[in-house]
Amino acid sequence: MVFSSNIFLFLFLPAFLGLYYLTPFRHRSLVILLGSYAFYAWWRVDFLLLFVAITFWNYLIGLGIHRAGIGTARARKWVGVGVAGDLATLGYFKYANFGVGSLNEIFLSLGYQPLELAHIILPIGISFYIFQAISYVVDVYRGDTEPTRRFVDFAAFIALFPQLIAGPVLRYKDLADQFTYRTHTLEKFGEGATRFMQGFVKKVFIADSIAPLADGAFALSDPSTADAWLGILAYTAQLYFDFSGYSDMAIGLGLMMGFRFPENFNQPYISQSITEFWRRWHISLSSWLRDYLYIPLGGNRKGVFGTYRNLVLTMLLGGLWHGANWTFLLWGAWHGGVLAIERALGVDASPRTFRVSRWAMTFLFVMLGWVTFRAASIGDAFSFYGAMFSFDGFSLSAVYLQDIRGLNLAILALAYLVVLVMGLRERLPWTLAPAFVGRMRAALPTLLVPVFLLAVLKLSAESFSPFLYFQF
Amino acid sequence: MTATSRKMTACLFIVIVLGLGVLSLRSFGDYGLQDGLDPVNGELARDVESHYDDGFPVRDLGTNLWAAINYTLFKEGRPGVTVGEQGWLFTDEEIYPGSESAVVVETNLSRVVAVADYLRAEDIPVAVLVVPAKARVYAGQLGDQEPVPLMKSLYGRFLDRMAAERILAPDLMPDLAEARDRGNQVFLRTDTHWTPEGADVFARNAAGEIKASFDGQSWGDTQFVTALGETRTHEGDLLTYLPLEPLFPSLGPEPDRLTERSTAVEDAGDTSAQSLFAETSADIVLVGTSYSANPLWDFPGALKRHLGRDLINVSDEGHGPFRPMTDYLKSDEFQDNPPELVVWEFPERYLAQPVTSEGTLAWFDRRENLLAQSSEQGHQTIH
Repeated sequence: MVFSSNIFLFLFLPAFLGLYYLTPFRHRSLVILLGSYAFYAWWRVDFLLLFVAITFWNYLIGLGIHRAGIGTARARKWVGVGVAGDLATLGYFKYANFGVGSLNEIFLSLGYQPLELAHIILPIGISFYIFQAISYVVDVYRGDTEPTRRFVDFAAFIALFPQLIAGPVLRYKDLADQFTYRTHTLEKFGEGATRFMQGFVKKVFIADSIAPLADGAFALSDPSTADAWLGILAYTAQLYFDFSGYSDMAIGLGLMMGFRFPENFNQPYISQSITEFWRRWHISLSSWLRDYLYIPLGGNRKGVFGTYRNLVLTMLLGGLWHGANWTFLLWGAWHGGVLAIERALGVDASPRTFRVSRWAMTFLFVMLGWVTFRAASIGDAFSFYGAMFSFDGFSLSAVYLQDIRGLNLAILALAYLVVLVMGLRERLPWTLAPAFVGRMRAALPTLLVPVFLLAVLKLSAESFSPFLYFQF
Repeated sequence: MTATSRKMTACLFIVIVLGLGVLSLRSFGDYGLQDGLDPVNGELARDVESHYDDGFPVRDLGTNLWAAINYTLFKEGRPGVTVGEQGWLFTDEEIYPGSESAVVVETNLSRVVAVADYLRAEDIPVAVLVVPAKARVYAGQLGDQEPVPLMKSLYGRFLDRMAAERILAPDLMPDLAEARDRGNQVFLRTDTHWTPEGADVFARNAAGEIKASFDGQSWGDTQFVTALGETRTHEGDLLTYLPLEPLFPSLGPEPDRLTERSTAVEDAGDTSAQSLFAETSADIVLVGTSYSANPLWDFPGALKRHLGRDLINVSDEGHGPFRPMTDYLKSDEFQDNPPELVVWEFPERYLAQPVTSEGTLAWFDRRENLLAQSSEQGHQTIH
């Protein structure tokens, strides 16, 4: 089930929240757990068993670490076994097909028989819930958090449906207290509803409207320079509004349930370096990678070369986390490489001034990275780069033009206007009059609710399938 | 946000979600559980969700509203239609090619030639009636839009290739243009197809060319008359791409008006008596697309009337021009009763559409293999 669906918004959510608010606080974790399992099982019931098994595994590992004592050799063994089990599960379900496929390409090129492996289904959300589980056992091992006292709280944390499918990557230590105590007020619910509606509008109204521009460009076998640039500009906006919209919805749903989740995006496209970009983009993942990968690898404590190696390695693995494809490895390598170069050049990651040249270069680097991220294969990515920089066609090709609607272009322009206004808001030296800001804030629901309703109507309309006459 | 506006938002959100949620429950009333849907792998859930979406209470409102926004703000419909001037709609297939591949047109031209060669090898002549695109005949109604160069060149390329291969393919565009300039509407405004008047103009001039080219055959033996029926509103197929009804019908183009026609043998009583004892073998076979298959346009009737001969219509809707032709060539009807003439109605836009029917592709592959085989064995080919 996804948030941007009728069945979630108008059936699951009211039913869940109704039950949630009718249940006494001490049993609400159980309601969250059952609701989240129902949410997950809507995709597939059988994979819910895997999810439950992972939950039990990490719960028991957490207890084992605690019993062994923080920092002991036995605790290290427990955490090693726990993380190895988690990674093995992730590796099997997410990377086995990719690994065998890559091996087979080598075998075939050498004239050997390929290995046979039945296609393995990728369980949705596995990358997120495995990372959350790892953060739990590592935090317990480090003594950053107590192991959970109630299994139901831990299971509800892992399964918490607002963040189950696409994050943010939460950590138990950040939410443990909220499972014990959190407030539920109409004001907080309203804050959550506002955030949810903002995310819904970002996803359904903006990202989904831009999607055909990106999909069309990347589906072309021989895009022109204009096709390629419009396509990557569209994809850059689509990805941000899609993903940050989802995160907004997750944060909003959390608030409706009384939780306050950490922010996941902070105007990333206004960054003036890739280092700054990673402080603003998918913040929960980049901080997870920093705390559970980069720092354990030695961080910047292993000398100049070691720091660069750790940066590249962290980003390579971060890239691979996104998907089992060489394209994600290349994307990770690109970001890791630029991060290392920026560190070598001493680029300021928190600049106080705004320099257009730095911003433009950063934005270009980000877009170049997204080409590889979006392409189906390395070959496709380089064909796309070839089109971007061949400068051989400044008009859109006929096949691409056919799928472009005025609405797509208008929403793309609107998306970049939003990015620009929201980004520059914190960069510009002047501020708006407090009275005006106050009035704008008070008027927000008046503006947001009609746009949300328009987005709901758009979602409803798009499940409509027109009679495809042209197959005649 | 202020505390008041937050509380207000909470209440509004609850009202919207609960209100629509309660209304949406009605869609489950007529849900019928289908056999064989697995509840474990999500099949059942997807089916339930799809049914829920179909019956969602504001679905039609959303469809109509967004169609109205697209049409009024951007002069656009759903992908598949090009909106012209004064309520004229055009299929995108006449503006853009159906495939990125530049070789599709050349491949399809070769396929037309292959069919003609196959028929000629059986001593059956063929006349290819290339229907000019509505966007070509009514280019003036496209406004500032125009077909891409490949599509613009299709008609000329088609006729040139047919001439080079000595296949009869008369240029009927000037006749349609002349009728248009005289004030006759030869294509429908909201439909991809021609009007019955346009079909008649096309048939009259095509028949003239056919009779002149195959003067050894007997023409004009049978007299046909066309009766005019009721004039009624016709909602063209292209209106499907502007789903403005039922909420905003006045925003969109007016539907067309169409007078029904039907053609029959002049003295039907005699003919039925004759046909009772006559041989039923077909002399002329019309193969084509919806331009021939849809009885609304009465194209086969008009062609019969202008040829003065009966014909068998084996046209088919929804499959383009190649599939009905290969289906006919594979049929027992063709094998047992070879015709004296095959007339192939072929809308020009299909030249830029890839053929997807496996049966049709297999027919052409087999034909190529046979040609290759006979060429290897040093036999004379059927060219």
